[in-house]
Amino acid sequence: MTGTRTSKKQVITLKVNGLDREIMIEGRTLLIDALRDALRLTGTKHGCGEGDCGACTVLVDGVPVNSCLVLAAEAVGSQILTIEGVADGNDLHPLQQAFVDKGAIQCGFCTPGMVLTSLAFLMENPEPTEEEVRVAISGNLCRCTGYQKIVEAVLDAAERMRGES
Amino acid sequence: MNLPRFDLFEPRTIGEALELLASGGRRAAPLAGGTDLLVNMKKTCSGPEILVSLHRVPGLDLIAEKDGFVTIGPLVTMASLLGDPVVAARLPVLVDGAGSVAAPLIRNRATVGGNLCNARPCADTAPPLMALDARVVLATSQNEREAPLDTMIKGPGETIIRPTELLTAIKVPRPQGYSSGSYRTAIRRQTMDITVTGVAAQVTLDRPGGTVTAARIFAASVAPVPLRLPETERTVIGQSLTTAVLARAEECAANEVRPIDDLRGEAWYRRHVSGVLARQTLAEAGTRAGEVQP
Repeated sequence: MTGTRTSKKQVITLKVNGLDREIMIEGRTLLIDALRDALRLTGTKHGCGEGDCGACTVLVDGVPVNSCLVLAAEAVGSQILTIEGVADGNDLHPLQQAFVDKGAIQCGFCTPGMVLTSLAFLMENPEPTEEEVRVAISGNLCRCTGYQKIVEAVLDAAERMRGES
Repeated sequence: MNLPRFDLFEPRTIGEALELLASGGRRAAPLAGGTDLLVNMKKTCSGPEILVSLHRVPGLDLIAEKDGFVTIGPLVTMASLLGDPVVAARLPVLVDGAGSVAAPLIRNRATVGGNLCNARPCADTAPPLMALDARVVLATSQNEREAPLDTMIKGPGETIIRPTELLTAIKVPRPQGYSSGSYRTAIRRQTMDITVTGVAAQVTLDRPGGTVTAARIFAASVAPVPLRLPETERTVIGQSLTTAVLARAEECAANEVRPIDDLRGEAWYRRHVSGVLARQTLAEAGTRAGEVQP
């Protein structure tokens, strides 16, 4: 047989939040389970498990993906960013601070995914319109806020990140 | 939700991938974006014993223009289709289709090869690529064959692809002259929903605003497979896309589709909206075709 085979348990190295982390996985281990169970990075939330809700969003090489639909083995060699890696120590990222200031968090379950999706979006589009923000976060469901405050927070963060306020 | 157990292989070349599929036979399946396969495996707690992940095979995620074809790798994601300048300039009907799939997060993983090989009647990239008269390249470890995409899908979830074969490329003939297309859908929500009905139209004009010299029209979710509408094509070929001609096309398309009632929509609605979408996409394709710089 050819190619790298992952079936029985084996050790892989994932680059998570800038650090190389060794973990034991099976072929079927999902990235979300590697992060939450093996690395105890429980900021990434387990929602629907089907890619519908976006609660499990992490960035893989800067691209937001549903970590419930990515095999851990497939993430080897990529840079993974989870919500735990967004703040600089105790200093919140301007995007996180905007979520706090705008009251864009209620129960908080969608927040890690919302922040990571928005972060990747603002890196690509630093001056978005409100409509563009709404489309960008349309794969992340929030059952509390009605989205308005989240949209306001992302727009506010865009200004902060451009250094305009 | 956990996945059932399987052996995961991550081949580094197309040859390795094809050998794995050949030796695995019916026990093996290729894994592309995983947005459909992994969800189904979780839900049913069953699936292939061997998954051959294609994501480390170089070149499968590329779009290239060569010998009159735009060749699209099966692992090209919906997001890549939406961001590609060649696709944007030459294949706007495919941009419309890729943009209709799920939501931005899923579009970062979902692939065009997966969308086609799943063979769902509602697949949003199938009617656009069929309207473009795309061909598929199907390879085994021994040989390779080409087939028109509109003959690849046999029924819901069924294709002509054999267990040892892999879709390795989608070849789209580069539209010639004043040719362009449009795909529109009826859908309940703008994201994370499944197309109730969709129509893709690709038309070629003899000059901007002139006579239609060629047209291909395919509809989604109105039959067991993406459905060609040849009668509707005939109502516009040789005609200018006037209001009267578009009205005839609308009526014809509504009669030509074969929808059923299901939880997403009733047959009468799908029939009606197929006509409306045929009129709209033909009009938009005609406008876009007139703007092409051949």
